[in-house]
Amino acid sequence: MARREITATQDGANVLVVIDGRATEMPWNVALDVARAMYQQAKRAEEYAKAAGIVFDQALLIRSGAFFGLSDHRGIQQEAAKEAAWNRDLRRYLPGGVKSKEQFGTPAVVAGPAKGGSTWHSVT
Amino acid sequence: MANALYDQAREDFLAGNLDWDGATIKLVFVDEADDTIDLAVDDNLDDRAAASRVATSGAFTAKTATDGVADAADVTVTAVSGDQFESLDIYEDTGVESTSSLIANIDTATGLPFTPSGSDITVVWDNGANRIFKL
Repeated sequence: MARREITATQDGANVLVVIDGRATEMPWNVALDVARAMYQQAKRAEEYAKAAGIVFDQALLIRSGAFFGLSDHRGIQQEAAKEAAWNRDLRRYLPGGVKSKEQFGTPAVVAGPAKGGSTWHSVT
Repeated sequence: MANALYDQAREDFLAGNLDWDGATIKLVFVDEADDTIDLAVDDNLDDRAAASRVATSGAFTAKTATDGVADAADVTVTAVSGDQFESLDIYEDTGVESTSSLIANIDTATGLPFTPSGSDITVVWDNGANRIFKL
């Protein structure tokens, strides 16, 4: 895509935008609305442009058990779920594989009999 | 390493082959100088070298499995002598070593490694939320 010459200047209560020599002028409040709308659409466009990377990162998160979304785009989410389920290469980015989630208490090994516990004779 | 379940135990729990509060569960003190713990490969008690087994307990009592949390009464093994042990294995005792599934290896505990002196040794389970372990 060709790089464009863009300037935005304030002209009294209006905002003057010049793109490649073509000017358009709008009131300040309209300019704010346009800026907001453009920002939102630009982020969507960026998501579309980077979809493959987002899918991969999302799949990695799913595999590692961190189920928070990087995108609310259904197609991307579904694709990430598929990648997480079937892409064997993901393992390379998870050293040691997917960690188990079981949790342990920390017992104590002490000399002496238990207080109210079970007592057994050593058999080996 | 850290306290962990053996892969065999995960499989047994999922396949319904291991009934924590119904089976005979024991522990064995393991001298890791005589054997190497492999959580993925070791599956039954016969994978634990005889020389590494410092002492074995009797069956756990008062076992519970509420909310996936394995618990039991503290276990005392009397008059233990032998080599220093670095960890303990919890296993299901079927009476046959080759079918006695290894459940968990605990190498992170207060007091480990422990050198027996011929006196009793008690394993005091954690009274926190995870007790012995939580699936």
